[in-house]
Amino acid sequence: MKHLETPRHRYVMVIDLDRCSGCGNCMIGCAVENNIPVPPAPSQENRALTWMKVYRADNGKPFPEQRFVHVPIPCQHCDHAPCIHVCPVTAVQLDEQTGIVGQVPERCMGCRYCMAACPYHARYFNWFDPIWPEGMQNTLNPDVSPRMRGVAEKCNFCHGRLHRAQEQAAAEGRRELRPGEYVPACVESCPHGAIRFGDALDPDSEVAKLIAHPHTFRLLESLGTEPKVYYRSRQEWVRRLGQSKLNSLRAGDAAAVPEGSRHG
Amino acid sequence: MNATRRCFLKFCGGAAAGALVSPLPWKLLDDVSIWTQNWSWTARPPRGPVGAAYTTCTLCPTGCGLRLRTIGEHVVSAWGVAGHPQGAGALCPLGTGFAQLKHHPLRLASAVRRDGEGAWVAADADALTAEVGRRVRESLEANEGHRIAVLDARPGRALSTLYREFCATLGARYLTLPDHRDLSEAALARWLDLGPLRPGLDPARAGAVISFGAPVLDDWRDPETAPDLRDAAAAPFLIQVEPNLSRTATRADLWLPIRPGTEAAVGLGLAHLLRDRAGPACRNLQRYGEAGARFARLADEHTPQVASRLTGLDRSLLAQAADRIADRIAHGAPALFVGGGHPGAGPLGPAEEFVVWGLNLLLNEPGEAAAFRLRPAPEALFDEPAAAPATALAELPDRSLDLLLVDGATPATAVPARLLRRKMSERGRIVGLTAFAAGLGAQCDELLPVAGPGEFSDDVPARALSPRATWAVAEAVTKAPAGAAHPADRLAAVAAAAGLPRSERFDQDAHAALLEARAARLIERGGRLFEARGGTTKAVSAFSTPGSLLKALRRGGCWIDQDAALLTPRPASRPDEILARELDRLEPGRQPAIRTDDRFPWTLVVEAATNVAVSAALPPVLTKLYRESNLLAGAGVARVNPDSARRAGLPDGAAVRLRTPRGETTLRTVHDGSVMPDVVVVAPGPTAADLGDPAGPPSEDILELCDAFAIPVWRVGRASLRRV
Repeated sequence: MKHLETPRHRYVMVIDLDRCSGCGNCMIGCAVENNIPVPPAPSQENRALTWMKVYRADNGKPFPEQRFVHVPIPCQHCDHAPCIHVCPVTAVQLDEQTGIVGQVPERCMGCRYCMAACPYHARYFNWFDPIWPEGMQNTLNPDVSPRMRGVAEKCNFCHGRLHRAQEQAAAEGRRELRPGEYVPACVESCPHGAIRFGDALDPDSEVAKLIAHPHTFRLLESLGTEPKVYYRSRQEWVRRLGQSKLNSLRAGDAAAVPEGSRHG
Repeated sequence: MNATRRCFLKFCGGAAAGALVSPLPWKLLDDVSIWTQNWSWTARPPRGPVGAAYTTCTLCPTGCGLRLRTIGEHVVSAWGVAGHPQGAGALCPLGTGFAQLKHHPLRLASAVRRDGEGAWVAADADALTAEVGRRVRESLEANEGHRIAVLDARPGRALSTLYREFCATLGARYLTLPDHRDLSEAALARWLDLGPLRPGLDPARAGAVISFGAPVLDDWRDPETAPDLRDAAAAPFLIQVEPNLSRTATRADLWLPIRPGTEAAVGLGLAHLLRDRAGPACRNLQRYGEAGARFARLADEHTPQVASRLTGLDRSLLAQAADRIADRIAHGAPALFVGGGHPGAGPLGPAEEFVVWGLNLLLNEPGEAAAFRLRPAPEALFDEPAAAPATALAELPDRSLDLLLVDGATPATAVPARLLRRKMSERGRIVGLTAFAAGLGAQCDELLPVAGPGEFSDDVPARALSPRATWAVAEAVTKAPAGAAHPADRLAAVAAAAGLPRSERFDQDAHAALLEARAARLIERGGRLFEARGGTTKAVSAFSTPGSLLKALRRGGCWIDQDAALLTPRPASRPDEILARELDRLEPGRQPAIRTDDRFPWTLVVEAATNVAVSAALPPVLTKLYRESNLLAGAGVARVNPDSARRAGLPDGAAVRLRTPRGETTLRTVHDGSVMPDVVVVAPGPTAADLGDPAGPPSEDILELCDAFAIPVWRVGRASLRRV
């Protein structure tokens, strides 16, 4: 039997923090694409469901020297994902062909170990059965299953869009996707072009070049999770922010106090 | 081996203990819980053929292109149209949540009216219409047609023409709600006799953009005033002038943190410096008569020392700004000054806008192919018969109306909760022709449901300050609820109930005929058409009939005018009492407008994320921004500088009582280091009801506490804060 080699990809996201205006359209596009419900009103602050969440971080200086930046944080799709290791029911899986870390709601038993393990706070839990205002279930995306209460969920790089793009390519007799044929909803929603997406294994791709730039960094790299979401900024204080360098703090040394300590 | 009873019991006990630490019992529990959860409210996505539809967004005056994903007859999501001239392929969160608006909890499917306690109760639409008609008839018989009005928050549409004709027939008033850009545009008329022309800002052509509080890098991607950041090398040098470190200010090339309300002073200080630094590039303002002379004198008086004293800005920062502007001009790149204020709260005052335009005229020749251009007004494009003149609602005396019909389009400006009521007599009634019982609908006494966004064909003329004239048509992509009529049909029904002759001239067919007539006018004029499907542009001459052009427009197209001819308008000749009074307060010895004291030691600044996040029904998914994260502050939050808050004994998250000379309300404190010391920033919305939570806590309208619309500059005021 002929063995078919399926092409491998490593889908990554590069977010330009100098372009991000904090408009939040990525959060809305993600919610619309992935049928993310709105929790009941009294619990919205503490039981939020925001697969993509935009935080605000500042340089720790007082007015008027303060500067802030908005940091969109989805699931980082780590190569060494802690959530995969801790899940007792294999509800989290790394797809070797794409690099996407997927969540399988049907297997999840709601122990929330994955939420505790995630250093990026990028996982969310359905505390309630989603209830949509009357008629609004007609706006749900049929490519994405609505989840029930008691399961964790997170960003999956809109793998429903990946499947659609692959089906379209197969129907046209192609095995490879064209650049831009598959982009997650947040990438499409961003009005400033701050979020880029692509295959890092393609040396001609924009993301491959962006990753190699010295201004590009990943969050908490010292943890060794090897995230696939990269960030870039020309501003050094922003790049330092990504590492949360508490280990450089020395007692009595004010100069070692790390900048960027507040998160919105 | 002898198997004893004890062995057997040990085995059973061990098996039970082992089973407990295995997934088995938990999986059984899990599966049982799934089997028992076939609730009726379990969401089932729609099924059906997958399709795409193109249309134009009508949720704000920008008119971005929409690409809708449809499943059967249902619209499930909205995305931008790449290359669209309005929006440039991007949407804002409101547009992205477009599909949910049809199912907003406060969406109207039948008529309602207020009962004695102010709650909404069902009503019969025909009976309500007959009642409205009776009131119209009575006013006409008493020769009091002028005590009737129609409020149109989105003038310039074909529907607006019907409203104006209706008002002209009755002798009624046609009222508008100018937004911050409309007011900025109108302020140029104090300098130039524009006639059928309107100013347009084209930041793509500027070398330096100086924004007086306009959120040019955020506000959800408003393309007309957003320098293109995608090409950093060509982007203009951005100077942001505003008190607080906003999302635009933090990314600007230079931020000038001025005291709230001193935009005019910093503008005049810049004018003073630029006349020296950019001397050869400066135009002679004397040709603008009294306006030019006044501006020149004020600029003379606002030396760097004076400007610094009035604004609190360091002189070196002002000099640095002037140097950067002059440098760009010296390299042949023009400077563009942007006013308009903050869209989520209120406009700049007339004096501030006067200074902004003065700077533009000082350094640009209007009509050149420059960053500051001129283009035809929408009414000049379509050459429709003159009907009732437009009056800004704020200019109408209080208690002058007995009947107000409110069109349901989302206003592009925040509207105080009781503004409409103030204009009514004691027996006056406000009737909304709206799709939602939120936003302006919440201020009405009776609501007659109409088709909402995406449910009827509405047109979108170019908004104020657009660099080019454009026109788009929003096609109906989904069915309105059974009880919701076309707005024109509602108007015709009122006209018929009032006994007006030929009431059919206001109906849906008349509206359609107007759209076709407009398309015919554009075929005569020429220009180009952007086609959404395919993202291509072709000459209008390719369309032989108005019907074919209209068909292309209904498919998400956008007409773009040819480039404006070079024109030089005459200086304005009309005296302006309001401006003269406002300019008097700019005399250095009479500043500042906002004086805090022991009773009101805080400066209150009103801001919101964007204009359409207030006074409007919002897709419920926007709770992601306002409640499920603290990315944006909605109503009920007071942002204060942490140091100022600590001095005043206001911990983060504490409940505080905010008091102004007009009243008080309770808010929650949020410490925010981007806020200037001794300033409190409050957003007018959105409220819980706007976000789809009708049972949410009501919030006192901050705009009412600011005297909004009652005084020329109301976005900045005085307040006290006390912990409760």
